[in-house]
Amino acid sequence: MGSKRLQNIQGYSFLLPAMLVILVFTLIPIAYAFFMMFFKVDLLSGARTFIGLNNFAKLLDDPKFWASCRNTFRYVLFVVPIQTIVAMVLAALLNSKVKFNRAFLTIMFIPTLTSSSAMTLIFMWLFNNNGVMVNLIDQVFGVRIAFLNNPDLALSVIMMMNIFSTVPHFMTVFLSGLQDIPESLYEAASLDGANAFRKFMNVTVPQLMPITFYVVTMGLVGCFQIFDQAFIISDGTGGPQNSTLTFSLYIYQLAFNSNDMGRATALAFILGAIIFIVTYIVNKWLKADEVNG
Amino acid sequence: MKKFAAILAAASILVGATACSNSEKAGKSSSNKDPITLAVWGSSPSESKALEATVASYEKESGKDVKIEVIQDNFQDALTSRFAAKNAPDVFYLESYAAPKFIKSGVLADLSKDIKNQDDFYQPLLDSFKDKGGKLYAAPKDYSTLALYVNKGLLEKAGYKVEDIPADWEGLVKFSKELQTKLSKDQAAMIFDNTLARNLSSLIASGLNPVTDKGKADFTSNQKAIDYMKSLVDGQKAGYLKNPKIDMGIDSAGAAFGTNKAVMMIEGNWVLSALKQEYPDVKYDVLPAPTVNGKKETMTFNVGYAVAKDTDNKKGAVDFVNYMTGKGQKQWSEMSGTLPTRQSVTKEMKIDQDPVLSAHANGAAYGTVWSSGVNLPTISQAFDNQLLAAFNGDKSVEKAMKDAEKEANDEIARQE
Amino acid sequence: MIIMKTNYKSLKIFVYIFLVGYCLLTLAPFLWSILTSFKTTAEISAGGSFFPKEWSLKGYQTIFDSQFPLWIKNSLFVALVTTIFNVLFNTMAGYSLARIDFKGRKVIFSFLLMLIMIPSQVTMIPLYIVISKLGLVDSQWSLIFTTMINIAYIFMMRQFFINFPRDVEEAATMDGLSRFGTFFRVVLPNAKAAIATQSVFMFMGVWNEFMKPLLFISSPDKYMLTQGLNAVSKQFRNATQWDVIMAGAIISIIPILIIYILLNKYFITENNQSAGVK
Repeated sequence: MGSKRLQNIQGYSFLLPAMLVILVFTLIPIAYAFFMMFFKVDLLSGARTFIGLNNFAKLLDDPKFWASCRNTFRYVLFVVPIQTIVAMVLAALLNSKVKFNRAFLTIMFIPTLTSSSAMTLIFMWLFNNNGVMVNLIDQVFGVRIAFLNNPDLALSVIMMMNIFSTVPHFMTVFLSGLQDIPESLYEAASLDGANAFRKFMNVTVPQLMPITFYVVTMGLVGCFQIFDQAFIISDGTGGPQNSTLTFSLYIYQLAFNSNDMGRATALAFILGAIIFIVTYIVNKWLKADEVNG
Repeated sequence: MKKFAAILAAASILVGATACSNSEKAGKSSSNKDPITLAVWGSSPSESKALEATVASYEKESGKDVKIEVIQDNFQDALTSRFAAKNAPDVFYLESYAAPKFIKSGVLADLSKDIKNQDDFYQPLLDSFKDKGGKLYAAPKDYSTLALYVNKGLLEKAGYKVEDIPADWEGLVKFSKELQTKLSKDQAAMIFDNTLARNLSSLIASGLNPVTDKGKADFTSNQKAIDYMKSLVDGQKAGYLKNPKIDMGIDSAGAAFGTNKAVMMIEGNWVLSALKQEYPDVKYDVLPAPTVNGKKETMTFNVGYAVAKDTDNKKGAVDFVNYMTGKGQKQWSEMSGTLPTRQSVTKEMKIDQDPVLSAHANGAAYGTVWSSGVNLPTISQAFDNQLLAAFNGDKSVEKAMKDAEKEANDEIARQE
Repeated sequence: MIIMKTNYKSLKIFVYIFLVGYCLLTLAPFLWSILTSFKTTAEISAGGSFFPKEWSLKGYQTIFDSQFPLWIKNSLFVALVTTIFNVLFNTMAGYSLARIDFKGRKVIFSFLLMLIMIPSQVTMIPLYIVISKLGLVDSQWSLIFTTMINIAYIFMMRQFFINFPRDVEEAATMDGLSRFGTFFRVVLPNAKAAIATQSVFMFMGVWNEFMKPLLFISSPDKYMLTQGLNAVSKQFRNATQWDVIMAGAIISIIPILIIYILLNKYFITENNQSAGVK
């Protein structure tokens, strides 16, 4: 249909408004930041000295960089699979003939609405050294676990918080994807004698793949860039012992505590590259972007 | 196709028109009489009202306009953005903690010859806004110091009197230990804070300056300082010193104190307004912060007015700062409940005779101001991060201090 | 009928238990927030119990005493305008990337993905410089322009359109509709679920945006709701007024909840009458 040229014109005219806005308000700021990573920058005065790749060398030599790397990867490895699977299963359950599904949906959406400061307050209340969780575990198992100042556990508390508040978001996305799956596919599967689980695995999962690609990618972006919760729980220090220091929190510390915007941007672009590579590998592995592509 | 083009055209015209009208407006307002812009952070209603009233008095007296811009949160980030965009306010609040960074960047106007009657200020406050050459870059507006708050009701219930409380740190720790045996498990004899911001003066009194002359971190060269930190760690382990957030699940020290969960706390005068409004039933006394190693010590947190170097209205800005820290200071301090930075105003307001405020105000003369060169943020961050390991028992205090020193000095080396 | 076919009774019970359990789990923190908004600051900061010891309206009172009707108006204006722009332009761009086979679309798509992978901490200050150069500081248009496109939702729309049935489009082209005609008359009406999802999250995103208003807007009469509520709740430097924060949070989510309930029907077909049998 149509000549190649017409397709090109059509394609770009549909993209035009978006591209204009992205150029001015996304690309220019990123380009500006891109150049800063080769400089030693004092943002206040605007003074800068060219230092080439020195910012990168400093980072690779920095134990805090590796700590933030370890924490962030641990975080992503744990949170992304869980939130994706839980969101998909919940969406499929709600989309099956369950009574009161809309009421369920509305209630499940609520954590997304709860502000992150309220969420953090609730979790601090639950997990502090004299809080509900600690006392409960003490009564049942007879041990007192210090969640917030134990380096191994502080990050886990943040992980749970994140899963809790992002699942409804991705669940809604999956649900709208499920609306587009043709009924006939399920009917065909029924005729072949497939049970509910088989149908989920053979029809729902593959048909949802493009959406899964989106959810996994945005999950990776969100988790690799995790900032708010880590900042609030550790008061911005990344402690105890760098255990809640994430990439984004370290970027923030470099930019505003060390006043070293050059190194902060260098780290930001390293993070960008890591996210891109991981996303690429994960989605190649899932073969997520190949359906009808 | 046509319909879409029409929508797009309409949208772009709309957008273009409003953008134009906006920049026009901005152009007009800046050409008209040029008010002095003052950037401040969000604070309590009484402080906001006090600021508005004092600024109004200045406007009335001088016939000039002042535009107050309140930056609610992330003040440093917002201010940095405005400097980066060459859009800085004429006058702005500056914490002494952040002052070295601004001074080093060279974006502040030199006020050495502009601020009047400089001898009248408490000198430690003034000094925290000076560079190494003694040039002055901001005028102190108000300050807070730490003092020892005692919950009289709880103390008397446990069978003690305020006079029983020792004035030195070692005695205070022993007293807390004894006191804790008469309290319930969810109560604390004393609340402590493990950050460097609260303990710097105690370390200095012990004989250790964590920030060396060369701006490097030093946490290890003095055994007494390590012993001081150990007293905090031991106290927490035994339960007579408690951290409100981690050990009690309480949002702030003031709240723990106000809800009768703590007998003593070493806090700044900022808790007073909360104690007055939220916890009016609690009876308390305020004593000077304990001596450490036989020396008087407290932390001072100091805020001033700074003027941007690039302002087109330095004369007006200086005039305004002089009013706010001079003639207008009494009005500001009285309404806001903050402590005046001038000794004459302190005397005039009889703060040195006030039973609550005098403990704080007397500290201004000897307190350690929370400010120590451009590397302090890096040094204190490493300290706070590593010392937590000592508190949860993963490292000894010696090891944590050593690691903190290394972490800070490595980072400082990378910044150079 | 997908999961619970006819005779899986035990599975069905399990599903209900699971759903109800998950709902309770999500509802508890929210209920806690509501109850907290009726406690006094003193009670909240001391930890306290689940139910308020005494019911206090101070949090709500503090908010009603502020300029909050004006802030709601500002937030509604900005959020509605940006949502409309976003839905239109993101959907167009997503459609183009999914369904029009033009030269360079793979490159453009990968490039767009790269842009969302750069964390905002380092682009915020350059963005402020752009806004300031355009003379948009302290204007609501700074918020609208910087949020009127969202790459994440371009991406989402692309993923939806990839599976979009081709025959619908082809039938429209046969009827002689142009590409734009097909898009507006056939594609958009068939993508209601995706558009509803995008609208809710876009609206919510703008409504809750924190950093941009903080940097771009300085006059109290132009504050966004979240910014204004933050200003009101910052009473003491060292003791946060949780009751005001919670009351503010409750008030500020009401519009989003209403929108969510209104658009609910596009996410899912309701079936409260009969379960199990098709």
